[in-house]
Amino acid sequence: MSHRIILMFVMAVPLLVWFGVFFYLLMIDRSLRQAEQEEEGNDSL
Amino acid sequence: MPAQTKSAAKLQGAWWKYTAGLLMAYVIYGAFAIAHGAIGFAEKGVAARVIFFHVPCAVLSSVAYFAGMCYAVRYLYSSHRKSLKDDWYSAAAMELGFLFCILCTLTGSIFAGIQWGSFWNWDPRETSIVIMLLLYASYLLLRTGLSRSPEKKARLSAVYTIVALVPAQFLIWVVPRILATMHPTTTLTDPRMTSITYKMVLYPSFAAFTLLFIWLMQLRVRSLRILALRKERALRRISEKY
Repeated sequence: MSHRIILMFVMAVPLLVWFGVFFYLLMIDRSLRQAEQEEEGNDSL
Repeated sequence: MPAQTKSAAKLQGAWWKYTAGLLMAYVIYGAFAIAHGAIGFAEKGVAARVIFFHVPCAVLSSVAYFAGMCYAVRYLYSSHRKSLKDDWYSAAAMELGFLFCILCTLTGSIFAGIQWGSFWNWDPRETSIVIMLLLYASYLLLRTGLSRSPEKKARLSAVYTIVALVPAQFLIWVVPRILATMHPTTTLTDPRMTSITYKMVLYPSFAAFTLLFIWLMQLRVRSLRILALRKERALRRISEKY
C-alpha cells in the first residue's frame, strides 16, 4: 500500500471525529435556543 | 432593537458556524492531502503535519487567557451594577483556555514522541505549558470552591485572572525566547521558512480554530445565562411561597 493511501486512511479518522463533534455542537446550539425561548416565554408570563 | 441585542442576534446566525465546520474539514483534509512531508522531520516529514493543530491551540490558549483577563477587568469596573455577564464571559474564556492548553500539550507530546524520541523532554516551552495548565486548573478550582456565592466567586476569580496574567504571558511569550529550546521559533515569524502548501493550510487553521473558540465560548455563556435565569426563577418561587 502506498504512503499516500495510508495517509488518506489516517486522514479519515480526524475527519470523522470532527464531523461528529460539529453535529454534536449544532445539536447543543439548537437545544440551547429552545431553552432560551422557553425562558423568554416564562419571563413574559 | 438595542445595539447589543442586534449584535447578539447577528452572532446567533448559523452561517459562521457552518463556515467553521467547513474550514476545519478543509484543514484536516489539507494537513494530509495538500501539505507535503516537511524536509528534516521524522517519518518522511509526517510529524510536521501536527503544526496545523498544535500551533493554533497554543496561540488560542494564550489568547483565551488574555480575553478572560479583559472580561475580568470589565467585570470589576462594572461590579457596582451587579452584572454577572462579564464574569460568565471571563469564566468561559478561561475554561476554553484550559481545554486548548490540554489539546496543545497532547498534540505537542505526540510530535515530540515521533520527532525527538521522547514524549516529554522538559523543554522550556513544555515546562511553560505545564505551569499554564496549573494556572488554569487553580482558577477552575477557585471558582468551584466559591460556588455558593456568585458575587464573591466572580470578584475573586477576576482578581486571580488579573494577578496571574503577568506570569502566564511571561511563560508563554518570554521564557521560550530567552532560553534555548528545541521548538522551532521561526515557523511563523519568518514566512520564508514555510512552504506555500503549509501556508495554504496553516493560515485557514487559525481562522477555523478561532471560529470554533468563539462558538464554544458563545455556547458556554448562553448555558450559564440559562442556568442563572432558572436559579433566579426558582428562588423567586420559594420567596413567593413563604
